[in-house]
Amino acid sequence: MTAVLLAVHVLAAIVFIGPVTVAASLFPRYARQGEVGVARALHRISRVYAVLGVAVPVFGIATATQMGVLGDAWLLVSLALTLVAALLLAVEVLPGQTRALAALTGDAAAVVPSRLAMSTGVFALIWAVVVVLMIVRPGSTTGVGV
Amino acid sequence: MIAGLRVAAVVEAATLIALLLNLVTVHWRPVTALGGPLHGTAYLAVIAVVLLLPGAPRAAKLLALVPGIGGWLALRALP
Repeated sequence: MTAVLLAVHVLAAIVFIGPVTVAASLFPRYARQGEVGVARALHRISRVYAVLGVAVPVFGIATATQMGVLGDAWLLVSLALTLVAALLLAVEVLPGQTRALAALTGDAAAVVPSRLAMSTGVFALIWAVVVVLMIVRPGSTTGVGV
Repeated sequence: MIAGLRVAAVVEAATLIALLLNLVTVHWRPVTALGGPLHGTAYLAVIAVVLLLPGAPRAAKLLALVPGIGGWLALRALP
């Protein structure tokens, strides 16, 4: 059963978190160019896949429980980073996109705040760190090692 | 988003019923192992959707936190 849970966890991470990362990083560029249709689609992808993405930590915790590694440092750090990424998405990225879209549809001269581009960059960086932690698993005998 | 909320609400309630039925009857482990995370995902998805809905009333946001039937309660509280 651990294999099934781990497979769902990895699949969900690729299928759900991947699109959010790409759509969120493309959004500022298209919003700046005034492409309302593209920006709206990217915002929709970011929002919908962010909701589906909750499956990733849930199935991850279930897998970790079955494997008995829930208390491991590498996993706790990954969980904390995931929480930071989720908060960043919910508090900074998605509301920033909503505001940018509202400005785009209201006033064509609106500028997309550079903070939005920065926070999506940090969001992508956090996921990169989490993935490396998941592969290397410092302090665990099941990690790949450097 | 509302259609998604409906799906999440059904999954949230159905998986909880399946988990509880399994608990009092055969207690088959795969149902617990898969149903648990599935229920957890649906529960969190309901909360996330309601929080992300523009103009969702405060009551709907709080009702979404109710375990098992939160999605259904939130749907009723939405305009």
